[in-house]
Amino acid sequence: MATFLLNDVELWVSKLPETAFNTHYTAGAEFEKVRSSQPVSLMPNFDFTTDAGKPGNGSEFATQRCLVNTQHPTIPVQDEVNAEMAGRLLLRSLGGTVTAANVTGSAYKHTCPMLPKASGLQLPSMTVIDKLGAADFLYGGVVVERFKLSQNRADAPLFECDLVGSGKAITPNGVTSLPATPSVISCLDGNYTILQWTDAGGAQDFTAGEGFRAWSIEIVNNSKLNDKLAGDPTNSYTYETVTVTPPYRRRIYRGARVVNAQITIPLQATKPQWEKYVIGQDITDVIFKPRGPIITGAVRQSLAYFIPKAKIASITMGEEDGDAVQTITLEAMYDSVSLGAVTGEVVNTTTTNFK
Amino acid sequence: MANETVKTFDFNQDPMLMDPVTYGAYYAIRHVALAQEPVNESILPDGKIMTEAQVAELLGPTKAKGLGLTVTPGMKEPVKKSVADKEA
Repeated sequence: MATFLLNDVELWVSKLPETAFNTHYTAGAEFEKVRSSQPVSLMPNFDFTTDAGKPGNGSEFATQRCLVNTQHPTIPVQDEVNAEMAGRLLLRSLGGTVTAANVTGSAYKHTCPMLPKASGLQLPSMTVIDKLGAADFLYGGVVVERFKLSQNRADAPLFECDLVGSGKAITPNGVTSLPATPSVISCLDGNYTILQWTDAGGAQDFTAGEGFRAWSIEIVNNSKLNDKLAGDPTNSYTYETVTVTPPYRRRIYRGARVVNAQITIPLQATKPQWEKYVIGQDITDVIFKPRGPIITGAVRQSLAYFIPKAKIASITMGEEDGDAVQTITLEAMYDSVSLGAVTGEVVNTTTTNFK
Repeated sequence: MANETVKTFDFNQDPMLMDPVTYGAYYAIRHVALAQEPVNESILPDGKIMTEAQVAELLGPTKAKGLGLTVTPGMKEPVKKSVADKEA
């Protein structure tokens, strides 16, 4: 019987968010194949209750076991950034309404805010297929728990994304004509990153002069897991004439979101950032924007997080390759215009329905 | 003098398409607006076309000079408003 290399695992994510939570996509054309540097092959796990150690059982060992729940699957995805699936996941990490606009020529911008409170706590969900040999499962009700952009020096910027599912799991996946290859992944060169903010002194470009040594920005949604309710939907599995129906979740609500943002720059002869930190100066339009190939004119493929309003939360001294550096940690403040603390943007050649 | 062209700043375009001076003015005006409590949405430049005088007025003489804009005598620095000011 055939065996498999873990690196041969295949991962697909739905091109669009599900129309309703747990309403999974069924056609191959509705999926995009995803490349990830961390291969993960999953099989669902379950919770059981037993009578082990219960008085009257007669033994410390179990004599009975009941299947009571499907656990949440977690699927990490990480790679060099791209303006295709990584861009979709970035937008889904925020969850607000995506607006498409033509920048110029064939360049289109897709922007979204954080999911506003008035829209509830359910982030957009997606359908994920994870397949390696017999470990072939379709997962519905999958949301972005965490999305991080980062870069060291001029290395290729990276994204890391943790997806978590409701527990809805269908095997085999049953979707025909899935794409055999990922969408064309355009390389986002680390040399064209925009890293800047605006303060009382104007726009501060951290790619100029001595440049930056590293940066990162991360959105954590603190999804509420194991949010069990009577009447939750059920999976159904039948093997050897036995059918089991373990429940899974009808929702994965977000919790209190957290934004972690840092910029590491060399220590220089003046310390303007420390001074702004001490007096609590407002910083606006903090832009973390890896960029790639030119689409048209000066417009490049890109994906970005913007922090409209921030303050410097702390500055810590460190060392990078023997050089003294300072790591500036930002506190993202509430922005009453976007009704959140971060907005997202993806620039590519897709005209619409990129979300 | 009667035919002198008034310099304008076109903020009705994506920042990716702006020239460096317009780009600097765009984010500087947004800073003035966003730094106020609550945010002064009325002065956000997005989607607008402004004259040099309007931009300089919003930024105040220091920032306007920094961007190479014409500063008129008597021009004042913008005052940061806060919720505390309003309550007082």
